[in-house]
Amino acid sequence: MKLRSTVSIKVAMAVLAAIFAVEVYRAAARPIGVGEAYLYDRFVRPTMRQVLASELPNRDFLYTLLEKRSVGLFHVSPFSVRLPSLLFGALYLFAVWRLARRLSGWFLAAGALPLFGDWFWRANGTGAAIALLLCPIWLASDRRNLNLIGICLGLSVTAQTDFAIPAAVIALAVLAYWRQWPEWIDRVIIPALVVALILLVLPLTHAYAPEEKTPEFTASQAAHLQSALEALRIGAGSGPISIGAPPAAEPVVNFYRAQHRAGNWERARRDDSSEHFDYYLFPAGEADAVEQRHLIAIYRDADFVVANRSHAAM
Amino acid sequence: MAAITAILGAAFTIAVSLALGSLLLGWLKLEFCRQEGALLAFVSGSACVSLAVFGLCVIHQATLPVFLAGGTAAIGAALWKVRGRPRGKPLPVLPRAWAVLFAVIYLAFFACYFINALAPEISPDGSGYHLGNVARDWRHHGFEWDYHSIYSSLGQGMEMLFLVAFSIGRHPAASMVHMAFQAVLPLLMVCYGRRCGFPRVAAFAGLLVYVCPVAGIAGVSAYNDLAVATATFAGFYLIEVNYSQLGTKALFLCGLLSGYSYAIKYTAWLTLPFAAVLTRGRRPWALCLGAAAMAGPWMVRNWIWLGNPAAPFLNSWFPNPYWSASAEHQYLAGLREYPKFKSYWDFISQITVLGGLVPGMIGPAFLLLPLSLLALRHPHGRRLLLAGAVYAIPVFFNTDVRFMIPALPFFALALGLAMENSRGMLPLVALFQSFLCWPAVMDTYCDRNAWRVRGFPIGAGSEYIASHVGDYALKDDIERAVGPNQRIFSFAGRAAAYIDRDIVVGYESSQGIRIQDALLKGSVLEAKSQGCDFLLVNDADAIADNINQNMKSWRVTEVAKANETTLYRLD
Repeated sequence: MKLRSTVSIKVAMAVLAAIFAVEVYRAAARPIGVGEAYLYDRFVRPTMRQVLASELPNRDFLYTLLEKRSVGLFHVSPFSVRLPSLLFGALYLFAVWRLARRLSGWFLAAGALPLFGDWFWRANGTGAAIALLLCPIWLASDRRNLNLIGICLGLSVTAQTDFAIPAAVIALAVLAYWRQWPEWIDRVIIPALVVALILLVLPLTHAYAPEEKTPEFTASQAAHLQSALEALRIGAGSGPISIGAPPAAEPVVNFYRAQHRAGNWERARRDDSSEHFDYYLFPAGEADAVEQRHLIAIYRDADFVVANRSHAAM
Repeated sequence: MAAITAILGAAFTIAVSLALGSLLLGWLKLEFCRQEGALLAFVSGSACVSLAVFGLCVIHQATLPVFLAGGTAAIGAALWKVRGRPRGKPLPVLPRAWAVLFAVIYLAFFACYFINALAPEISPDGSGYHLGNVARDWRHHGFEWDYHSIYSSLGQGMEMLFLVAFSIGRHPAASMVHMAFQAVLPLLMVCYGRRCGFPRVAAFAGLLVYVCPVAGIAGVSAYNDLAVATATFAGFYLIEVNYSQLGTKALFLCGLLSGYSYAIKYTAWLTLPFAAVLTRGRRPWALCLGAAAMAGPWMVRNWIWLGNPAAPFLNSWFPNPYWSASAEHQYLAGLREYPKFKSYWDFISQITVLGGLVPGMIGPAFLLLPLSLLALRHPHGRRLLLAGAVYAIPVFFNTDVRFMIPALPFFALALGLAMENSRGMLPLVALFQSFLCWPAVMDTYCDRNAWRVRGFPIGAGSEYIASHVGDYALKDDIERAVGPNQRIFSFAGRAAAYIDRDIVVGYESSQGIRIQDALLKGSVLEAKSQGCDFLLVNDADAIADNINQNMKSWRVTEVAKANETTLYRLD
């Protein structure tokens, strides 16, 4: 059933477009998050060989491939790593629009709800997986699309492996809708499995290391971290330096290093108290370490302290 | 020059095989389509060459002039016979897009395999016992009856072909003969698909098998796994395409290929009973007659020579002085033992993608193998799955991934049938497997130690052998110090293909075990009385430090040392 009121459709679409514009703004303006920086630093920056050798589980494989392409085209920045998410956001909106035209205006409203989450501007595979899960629902009405439905389901799982069960549920829903077992197997399940295998075979067979949990910073912590890194950049000058950082901040420091092409910075490492660095980034709660290690604080705020070794110690 | 003689040696062997095969098919009056005729002629002709060379080895007439004379006569006779014979009907065509895809991938991998096969043999078993047996047969122009080893008592159906090629082009020529079987297998699979009405599926399956990493490296080495896979598939092919009118002659040929498979590798003994099942017991005598013609000579040889027709196995049924049942039990238990895996998933990923803990891998596309069960919907699929299951049985008794190779064509075809109706999936998977199995790409993801084709060793010579085969550094010292009739003992297997002397290996015969026990007790005199004149000791061997520090009391003299291996003379 098509929506009757074209005016309401236009208004709804204008609202959706406005929400999407806000998403674009957030993608460009928000400082990089820990998870996003981690994804970039562990899976996008290194070569495929290095990623596989690290044996770290990558749940957002498809996203990291697209992010690699985006970063290759537009250089490293918070916006470039989030660009694939935004594009999937656009795909999501398109699917919602097509579904709303067929079903009801209420669907348009319901479909807009995910846009209020962080899924379509954050640099991870969740938004892509959601968009790719919605596509089969939109495409399900036409039997000729069964192959495409299978491919979308497979891609959804490769965008975020946690979506395997939702993808299976949607596949079963397609079966329930069409009630054609052989066609469902040949045109939905096999394409989905093949696509998932092609993209996931290498990451899955190399994921033996335990997953690293990285707690996210609050918006104010993220902003403070950026200020701290600015101060560090100014303080460090152009000489080669090594940086020790807390585990949560270490990927962000490395992302910042790549973004600003700070070639004189060695890759930041996790500060485990046994290693000596030229510069240290401490959470404000561990500010005592500055005195204990005879360091000089060059930046301090409510969340972070940046310190370097005294010249005597260096 | 070495490359040219290697190509000539292999080409001559292949040509003789084709000639004898053509004569055999003509004699049996079996009609085949144009494309499949040549492939089946090569496979069945290679069986004839193998049998003929076996006969020459028994009477110690395996010499180059005899090979050249016999081979030239066979080629001449075949050319004379096929003159004016009408060419068979062409097979139904492969769709153009598939023909192009198949040709591009096939030719790219063929070039890669050709260069690797042309390089000197460095594979563990190829430079060890496969070509070790060939080199020994060549030195004696036939079987050496005084030398006993489990590996010399195995069926040497393939080594007989290697011997012809080796007589002209030495080691690489033998590898190239094996590579010919590797090249024929996917073509035979395509013919099968074209005959049975699923050409796209067959092209897909052919590519999956041809680019498979373990099939790639085994195929370019002087092994026998691809030969056995091709022979068993050819037997299956014969039954399938002639199923409605299986005559006595077709059954005889099928039996011949079954027997040939057994002569190449004992694990293919299943081929005969399976063929009997597939033919539903039609004229079993014809099958058995063919099989007996090929397998019988090897059984009789072993029965007369060693007192055990199935040597080196079934020693408890046929006790003999050359190898004991307990040694056999220990050896087989070692073959069955898999390394410790972290999980079932680790096991599967090792076999398909990583290939570090198990030697080699079959390629990532085979992770889709569970889908092949969907081929049960298809009558051909059911038979293919059954064949795959039967030929996969040896995998339970040997952890080497290459033991899966004979089952792979059947499983790949079944997988193709299962995915036949999924638009675009067959070419996608074929391209995916081909891309990930290209040597340079494999370096990115598979285990550093995985057994695989590693690149393009163009113009590789003796330095290439020396860098891959540790024992090669001692070759000159051994051949200078050890007389042609003297014997060397070693605890571990050696690159016998490159060392022109007989080496008795500890676990390979009762004599070796006796010498090993004597040395472990420190009794050199006893070892010498068992026929051991020299010792090759690795630094890691149990007696290495002791013997090195107390050479006088051991009554040995160090002759040479290289690559952590020392050659001692027993004084």
